[in-house]
Amino acid sequence: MEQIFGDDKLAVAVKKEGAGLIRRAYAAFGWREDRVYSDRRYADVVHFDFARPHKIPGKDRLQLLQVRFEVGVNYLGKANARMPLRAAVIGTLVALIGLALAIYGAFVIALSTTTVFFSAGVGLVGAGTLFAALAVFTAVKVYASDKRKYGIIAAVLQQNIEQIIAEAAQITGVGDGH
Amino acid sequence: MGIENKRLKRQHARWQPKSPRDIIIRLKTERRGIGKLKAMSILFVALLQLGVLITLHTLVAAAFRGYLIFSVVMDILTCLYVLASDKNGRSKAVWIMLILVLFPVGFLIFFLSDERIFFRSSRRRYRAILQSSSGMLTGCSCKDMPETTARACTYIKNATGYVPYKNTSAEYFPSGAGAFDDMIERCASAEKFIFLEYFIVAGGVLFDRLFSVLKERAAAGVDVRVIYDDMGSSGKLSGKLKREIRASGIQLYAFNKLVPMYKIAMNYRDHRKITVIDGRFAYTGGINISDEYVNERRLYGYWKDNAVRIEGDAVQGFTLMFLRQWEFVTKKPSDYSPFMYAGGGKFPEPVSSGDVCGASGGTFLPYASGLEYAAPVARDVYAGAISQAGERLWIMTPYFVPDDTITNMLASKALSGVDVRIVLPGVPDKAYVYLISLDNADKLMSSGVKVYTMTDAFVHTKSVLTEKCAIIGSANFDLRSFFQQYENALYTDDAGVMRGLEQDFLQTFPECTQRNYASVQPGPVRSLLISLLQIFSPLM
Repeated sequence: MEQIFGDDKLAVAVKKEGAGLIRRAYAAFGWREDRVYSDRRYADVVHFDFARPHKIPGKDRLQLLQVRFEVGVNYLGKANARMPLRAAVIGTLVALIGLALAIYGAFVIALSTTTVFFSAGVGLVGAGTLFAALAVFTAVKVYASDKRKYGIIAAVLQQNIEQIIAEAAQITGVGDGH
Repeated sequence: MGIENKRLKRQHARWQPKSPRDIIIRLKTERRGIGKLKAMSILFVALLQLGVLITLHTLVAAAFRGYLIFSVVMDILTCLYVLASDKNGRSKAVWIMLILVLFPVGFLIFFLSDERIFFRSSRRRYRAILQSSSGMLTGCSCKDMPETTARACTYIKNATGYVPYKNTSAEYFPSGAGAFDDMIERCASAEKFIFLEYFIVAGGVLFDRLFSVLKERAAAGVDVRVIYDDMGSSGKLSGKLKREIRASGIQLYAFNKLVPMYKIAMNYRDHRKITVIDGRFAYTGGINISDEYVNERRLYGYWKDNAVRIEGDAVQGFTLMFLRQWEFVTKKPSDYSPFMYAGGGKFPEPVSSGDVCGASGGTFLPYASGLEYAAPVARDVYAGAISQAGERLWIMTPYFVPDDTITNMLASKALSGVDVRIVLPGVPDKAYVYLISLDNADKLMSSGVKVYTMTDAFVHTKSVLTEKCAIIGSANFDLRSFFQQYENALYTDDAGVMRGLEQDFLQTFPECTQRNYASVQPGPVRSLLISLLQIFSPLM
């Protein structure tokens, strides 16, 4: 029977920043590290080949926990990338409005024949500058708010991930390295 | 972190870009784009043919004014024909709408899709097969058993000819991995025959594991036969693998081969999941022969499935089910007798026949459902179980697109105080079906039905548990399974199986999120999308 089943194999590509966590977690899921090698294209990616006996106690639960672990870890990666995204988009949009106003104001100043038009041009340039300042302010505020939001999510996820690893370690009897 | 080979080491020393992906772990076995190219191209060619036909028809209608009047008359007559047909209410409504909206070609499309015309010869063949093999089963009578079981037995016996059995033991598997491990071990010790009938047979780790055993057994003289559905296995079972299987002495047949033609029969698929070993063991459930079913490959999160193994007299039902389908796909008369008790197969004589059926232990009732029967058996057995539930009614299904009969029964059961719970996937495989499934399930929440979605998992289990019985098989709670597909299941009141399924449910509930009526009110855009999708739900 052993011949039929052999070992289960798992090949993963991992960002280097998460490699330590992945090693610890997969060991808790019962996986044995067979091979580690760097990626040909990307400097921050490393490949792991794991193996595990086909028949291990609590395999169904381990598989579910492993999926949840991977979903959680990947969400953390996505959250890190998304954190400045909203601030950047909103900040850029507001800054573009400011830029448009300033350019329009400059044109009005350049082509003005009366004091009223000149003043209006100056006003528009001023408004443009104000929008630029507003863009920076909004971006900083949004970034701070998103950082807080993702920070809370990340903290909860980190906790869940640790719980998952601990439960897996309990099933396999492999220490989770803490 | 050590870098093993020198070339990579050199590469590593040079400047390398960073990965553009945000994710931290990527499983190399995680593949979402399954090879559906063949099925898609066939569908495209079939639709192209339909398009040409419609264009020609429209040109004729434009050239001859009288033809328009003829089309109006034909549309009205077709609508009357649909109303008088035995289709379910929802299908009738959809067809009538399509016939009227697609004027002047609506009636033409309907008749091209009418199974009573274009599936007639297959029906005739099925009828002949059923008739010639009708005396093969030696089960119990439907008396001397609990009332609920007796009713289900009587219905199944009258509708399909399948009979109940005692003298059978069973083991419940809450996952595909456990079921396939057990199956492979038993296949390895098969001596006479191994029959497999699966919707999906796909190359991969599980395939290699199972077929290495099957090849070895075939070489040892065991009769190994496999039926796979050509649509389900499309793009997953390569020509090379098929040639390898056949070369090793395994008999392999496709059910309903895909052809690039507009043919309504293409819609009728063999969704059954059956393994029979030596007439001693049989397996059924939601599982297919593909890596995702044992979580060796990740498609939609964790794959939740189940299966049951039976040992004893009830295996006969599954043997007959397979042999009938085998005769249909091979188009050759088949001798059932070496594989069946009644035909003189050299098995231990069945204990459960005639008067000893009153013996203690659960009743096992394997049954088939499909276009070979006049009644929608899968739907009716579910409806029977629902109607008899008095305390609890727990359902696990990947898709929830039932007809009005089932929907109304579930609502009324919940309103009358029965604990009705439905477990659906938390991760969808088909977004459009998932949208409708959630909408249908959510609508029942106002009646008191509890709806759960399993977090980070795709639930593929198709099972029903009441306080009186358990049903485990291949039939989803959707219109395709009820009316258009070949399905099979095991109905049982066996305490062991019911306990196993109950444990499975109890362990699944904490892994789920219970949907909350207040938080699932869809917005106007989503409502419109759902309404549009509901039109085509009979086809999903």
